Amino acid sequence: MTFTIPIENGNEVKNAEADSQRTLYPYVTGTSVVAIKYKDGILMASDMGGSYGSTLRYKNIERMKAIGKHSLLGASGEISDLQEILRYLDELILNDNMWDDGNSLGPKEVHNYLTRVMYNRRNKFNPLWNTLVLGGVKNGEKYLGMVSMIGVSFEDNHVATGFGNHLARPILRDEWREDLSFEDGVKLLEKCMRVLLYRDRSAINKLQIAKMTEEGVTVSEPYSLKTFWEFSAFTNPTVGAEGSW
Amino acid sequence: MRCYRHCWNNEARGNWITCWVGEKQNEIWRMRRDGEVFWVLADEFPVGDFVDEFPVGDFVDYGRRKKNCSFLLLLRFYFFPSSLTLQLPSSRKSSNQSRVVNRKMTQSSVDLPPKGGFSFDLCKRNDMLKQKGLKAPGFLKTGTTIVGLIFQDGVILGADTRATEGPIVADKNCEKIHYMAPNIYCCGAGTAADTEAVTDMVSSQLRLHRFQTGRDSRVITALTLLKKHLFSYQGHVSAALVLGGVDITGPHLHTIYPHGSTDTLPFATMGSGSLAAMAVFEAKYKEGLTRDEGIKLVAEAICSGIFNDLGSGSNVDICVITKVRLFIMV
Repeated sequence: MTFTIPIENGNEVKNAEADSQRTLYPYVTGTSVVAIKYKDGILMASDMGGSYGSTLRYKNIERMKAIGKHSLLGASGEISDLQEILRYLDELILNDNMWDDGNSLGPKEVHNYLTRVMYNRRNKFNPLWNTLVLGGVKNGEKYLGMVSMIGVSFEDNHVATGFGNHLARPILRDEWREDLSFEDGVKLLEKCMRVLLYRDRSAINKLQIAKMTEEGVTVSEPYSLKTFWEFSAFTNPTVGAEGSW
Repeated sequence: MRCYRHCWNNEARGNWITCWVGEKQNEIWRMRRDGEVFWVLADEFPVGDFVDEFPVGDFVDYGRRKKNCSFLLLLRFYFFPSSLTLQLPSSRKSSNQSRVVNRKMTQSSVDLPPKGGFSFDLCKRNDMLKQKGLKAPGFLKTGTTIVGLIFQDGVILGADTRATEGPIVADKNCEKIHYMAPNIYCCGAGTAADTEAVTDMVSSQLRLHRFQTGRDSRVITALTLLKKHLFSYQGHVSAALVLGGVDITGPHLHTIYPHGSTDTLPFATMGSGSLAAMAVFEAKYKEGLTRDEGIKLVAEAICSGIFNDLGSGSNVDICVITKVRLFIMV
């Protein structure tokens, strides 16, 4: 047989060393964050799990942090990149404080800074593998925005990352109102987190809710949601057909 | 590279149209009238030569498209049709014709694969083609939201009515709730042709079964027939179904996945809008809903799919199945 086998395209030699300096895949990841604007400010909810692939490795990761006096950051995605972002923001806030001019960075400014950071990293093919939610209140104005790992950023009344986009946003689009009270807001967030708990495999039943108002940030203690598993089709799925499945 | 093109006498041959003899590797290529292409590697034929006949089963291997040839692609084959001959146009005769193999067509019958079951021969060929670089035509994803839930008197099924062909809405009011039996209906997501064909087929089988047994069909009968069929096709029949009905043993709701696995559930959603609809169900479903509450919840779930998923849209179809009578609302 004399016929030629074609040479595969893409015979560039990949530089293994250069690759190890870029983020190629995430390792320890956090799942969704859901946030809404309510009457007095911002409410944000996230669970406390860090998955290592398909293992639930860490169950005590706080993925929501206060930034400066006016902002609250929540992140999903790679945890180490979140910690790196917190260091960048620390430096940013520190520099701002050093000016000592009576002015402090508000949520809009921090959101813009994060957008620039994420977009620039993505352009160098070395992204910070996170989707960030930035909420805050400054001078009575509420702000809630989101930045993704490729630098897409926008602002909305309710945001969610990861699976929350598919499972929580439909609920929020239906039921969010302009002047939710604190209790109603928490109930709405808990509704979303419960659906995520049922249907997202990397969610755990240990969540925190963070509140951001003009006075400051309070992150609640971790607690768990009540779930219901007693449907008759679950307890006896083969009624009428014993032995089937 | 030189290519010789020979136009065959179509009447005489019927199927064969053209043939190229490639220079470099003594390949002989042919294209059948119906477009099926195959080629033969024939080492013993010198370049530029015309060949006369090949015995059945001569073809052995596959190769790659040559740049100057206008064949798109090559197939590998395992057997030839029995009428495989190359005919020379009468005007050109090869000087080496006497040297050319003048084998007679052996009329051996071709071994067909055993009847029944799925023949995976073409799958091997498709894999080979993909390896060689041919892009397979993709399946057109039909976005959908279909849901079902059990309420206190029976089952309610719901579906949107948009059928998409890639980014275009092909049918803005199609029916995704299919009849299986007077007391059993089935919503289908996935490839529209597959869901239609599979539900039609099982519906006929159920009818025959009803004739034979003289009883109303049971939901698990439909379930078993569907899952048997889908499993035997190993997921290639791309039909994701929500099957619901009320029979003598009570109301039942099942989901069936394209590979053949099934679930028995109190509420179920399938399709590209399933997450949006499932969010509504998980938040608001409880046991023992009344008929109106159930209809409202199903409509809410489908609307959630319609507004939050691009593949679903248009209208909401709802089907309520209860023990005594059957209502269909469109």
